[in-house]
Amino acid sequence: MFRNIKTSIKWYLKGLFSLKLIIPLYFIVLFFDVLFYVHIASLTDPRSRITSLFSIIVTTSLFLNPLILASGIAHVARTKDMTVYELSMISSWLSLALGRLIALLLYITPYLVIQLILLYLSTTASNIIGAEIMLLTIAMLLFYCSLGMLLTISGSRVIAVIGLSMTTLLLPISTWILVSISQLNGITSFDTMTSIMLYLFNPPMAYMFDKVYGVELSASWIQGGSTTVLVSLFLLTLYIYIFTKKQELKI
Amino acid sequence: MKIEARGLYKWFGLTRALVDINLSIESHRVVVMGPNGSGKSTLLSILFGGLSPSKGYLRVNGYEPYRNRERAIKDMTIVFERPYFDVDAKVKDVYTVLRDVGNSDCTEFFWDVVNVKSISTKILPELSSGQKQLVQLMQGLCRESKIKILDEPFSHLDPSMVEKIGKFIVEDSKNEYVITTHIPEEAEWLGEYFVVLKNGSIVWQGRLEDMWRSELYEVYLRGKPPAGLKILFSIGYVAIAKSTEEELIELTKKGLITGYRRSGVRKFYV
Repeated sequence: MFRNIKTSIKWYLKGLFSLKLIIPLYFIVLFFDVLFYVHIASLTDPRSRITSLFSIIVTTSLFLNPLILASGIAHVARTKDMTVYELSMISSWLSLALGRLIALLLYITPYLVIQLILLYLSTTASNIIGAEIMLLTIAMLLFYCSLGMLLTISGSRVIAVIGLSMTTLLLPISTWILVSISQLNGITSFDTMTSIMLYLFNPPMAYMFDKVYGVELSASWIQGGSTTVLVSLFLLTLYIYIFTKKQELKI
Repeated sequence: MKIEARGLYKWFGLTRALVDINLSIESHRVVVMGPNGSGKSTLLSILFGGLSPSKGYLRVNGYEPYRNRERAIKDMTIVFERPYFDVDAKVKDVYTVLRDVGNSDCTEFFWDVVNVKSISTKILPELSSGQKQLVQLMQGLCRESKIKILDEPFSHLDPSMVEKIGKFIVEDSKNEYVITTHIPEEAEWLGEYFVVLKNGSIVWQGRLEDMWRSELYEVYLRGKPPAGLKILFSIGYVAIAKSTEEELIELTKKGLITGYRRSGVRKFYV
């Protein structure tokens, strides 16, 4: 089984790190990240630094995450015909499902590391925001990866890529819109269920609202983050179950 | 290989793809034939565990592949008719995987004798349909498995490739095969046991020897059919006739027909 998983991962990494794609993508990521870091480093007022940190969260949530995740899912999503071919070659349903997942995680790892370094450098200057925002960023990417993997079962790369792009864009925005409109209407506290939902869709943003912008969330960042991880693990289990047991493949 | 099916049905919505399929086969090489849309690919998909039947069961070597998918995919490799690749891997990447999980003699046969190495640096989507089929066949035949499921495996290959790979299959006594094809001569070359499907149902199953008992011949016509020859039906220049070998030798000598052979699976296409 481990041999099959290893073969499967190696197969999914073929063509995955295509320089034609990676160079422009990482250029965009690094451009924004360096821009933000230079800006934050030039600020002396801790409050201004936090505002800039919020800009990083917004840009990451609404632009960089969809960009990286959609390009990653485009690599591992396959047509049903191609899945039959790969199954026949790799000889294990489970290894194929895990190979795709691990290849996607490997693909986003450099991006995640860059984001974590940026967040670390940006948060060390502040005594309000701590390392927890880094954990919530990891949880967020895990959640959207798990949604992406479920979308790959559709057997269409177009559905998987468009579906994940929409999801990674619209769900984090919904957190922002919900909190902003509520604040405009004088609502500043949210019940446990809504708080958990806000954390699930955009954990770092929900945390910033709670910690910095006076929004009272009934769930703590630990509860929100744990829920996000648990839901992600459930979705990944569901992906593996559907892929290995319920997926219909016709030659 | 033992294939057993009882009351097997498969529906796709309101469309019936397979209707009351009953099989009890013990054979080294099985050929499934039938016109387009007859249910061949659906039967093969159930065979490797990709689809579950709507009703009934199918067992391969004693187990139901769609209920034990991990075991089934270990036991079987699949080559399908429409060679379609949508990944930017190179041919040599497939070769690298097969060197890990495949039979080395077979892999080297494809690499050197079939000359897949000449396209080693090409990426899969850029291959011609014939080259794609070769890469598929290399995977399907060379990955270690007991049963090779080949859905119209030669449909995009030139005759010299068909000869090389077909010969490889008929000389392979270690593995077992389930093959679909539309070409009767190809079926009779590769097959030991035949299943003929039409509109999702089995119209005939058995061995060539069973078919030959009927005294039917395929007669190759030269212009108009000879008077007196009892022709049942014809497909282009080939007529299925009820006759005797003596009568057909005589007609050939007179130049009224160009040749004849014992009737095989061709007649089921009418």
